[in-house]
Amino acid sequence: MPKRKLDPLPSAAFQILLSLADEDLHGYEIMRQVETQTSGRMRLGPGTLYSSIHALSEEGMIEEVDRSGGLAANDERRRYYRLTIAGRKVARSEAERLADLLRVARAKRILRGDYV
Amino acid sequence: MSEKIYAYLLLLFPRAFRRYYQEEALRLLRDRLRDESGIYRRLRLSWDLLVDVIRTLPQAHRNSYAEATHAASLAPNVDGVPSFQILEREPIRRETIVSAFVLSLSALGALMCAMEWPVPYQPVQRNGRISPVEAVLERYHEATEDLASSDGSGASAIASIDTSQPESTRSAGDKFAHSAQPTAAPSFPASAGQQAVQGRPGVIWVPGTGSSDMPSYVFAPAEPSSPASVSEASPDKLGETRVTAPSASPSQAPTPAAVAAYLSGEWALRIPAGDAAVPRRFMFRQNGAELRGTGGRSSTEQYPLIHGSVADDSVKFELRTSKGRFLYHLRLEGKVLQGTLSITSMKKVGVSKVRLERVR
Repeated sequence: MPKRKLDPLPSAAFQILLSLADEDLHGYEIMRQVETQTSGRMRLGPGTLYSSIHALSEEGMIEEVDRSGGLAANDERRRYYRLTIAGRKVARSEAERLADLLRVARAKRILRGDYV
Repeated sequence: MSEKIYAYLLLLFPRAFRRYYQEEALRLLRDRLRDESGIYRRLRLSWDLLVDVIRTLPQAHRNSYAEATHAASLAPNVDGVPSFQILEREPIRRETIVSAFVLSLSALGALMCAMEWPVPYQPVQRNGRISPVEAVLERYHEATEDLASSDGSGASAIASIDTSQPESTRSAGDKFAHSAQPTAAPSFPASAGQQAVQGRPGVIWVPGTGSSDMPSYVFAPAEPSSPASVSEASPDKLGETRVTAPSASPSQAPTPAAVAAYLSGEWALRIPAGDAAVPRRFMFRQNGAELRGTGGRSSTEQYPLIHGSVADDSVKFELRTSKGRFLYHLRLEGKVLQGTLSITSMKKVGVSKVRLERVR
């Protein structure tokens, strides 16, 4: 069985899944959303962004959305992406994995304070 | 970083990636350029893009973007038209590309070295001698080339030779008048009988079979050092020998130096300092101002002359062997060629005086 490209899920791919949790976005909006939700620590370049989008699309975690109707002229050729059910499941499991890690870190007294 | 530069950087990505995402990536860059103004933010943008390209490029080539192409290539043949099948799913590794590049350069370099390597020239036979047939044909071709280069107007020059005097007492003009026919096919008086006339040094015209109106003559090689044999056949009848030279008008006559610089033949090298004979042999073939032929250690190991030229009494030519380059600058003095030999080899570079003497 071939190894899956997104196993483990890279950080950039996880951030893209999180950014698409609320609404459909195009590439530049995804980049801005990721920058916002990471407090500016992660700025996805075009190469990273579209490589990750390609991998997520191949794995069926996101899908391209046809939004040609009712859009502004400069948005006609933009590609919008939507989180699929499978992508949402993967994002949830990744978040749970990180939550488990966080619990362990708190149990080990590595983390102090009210992080969660 | 401008959009144009980034478009060039995108050329480094796989074609399938560019086909799907190039337009999107450029649009994203335009959006960022619009929103991020100011020197600091532009510098940060350029740095982000550069790092992004460097970091994602190997991964982009490892990704199976080619799978889309592979899937397309596996489409069934249409109307029996064959299609190429991609057998290897993985893209070519960088190590393979670098190895192929290095191997290609090495092979090209080896080929160039092999082409530059001088090859010993075998004149004609194993013993180094030119066969009589080859010699006759070679001289025949030289003579016919000379005849073809003359004006062919049929103008005759009469060379008067006082045969009652020995050759040593003849005037220089007589000698010149006689030797000024190096290229002419002479016409012979019918009364000359079976005489041999030397039309040019090294070539004797011998009457062959033919009618009295149209006698025929054939070539025969002769020793270059042998004196003119026109007067030796029948001196009493040949007080004045008529020799036809279509191009030998006085104004067109070659200079004495040019005549003297007829170098065709075999020469041997001597070093004047020790006057010791060194095993060097040269086979010269002069065609006007051009000097061809071979030279080398012996008669069997010969290399072709390069850039050989004859100007008046100055002779230049070059030999290239596996040992190096040998450039000769010589001057014809009497019957010998004297001058310098410039040697350029891996072991030494120097100049020495040399002298070439005619062997035959």
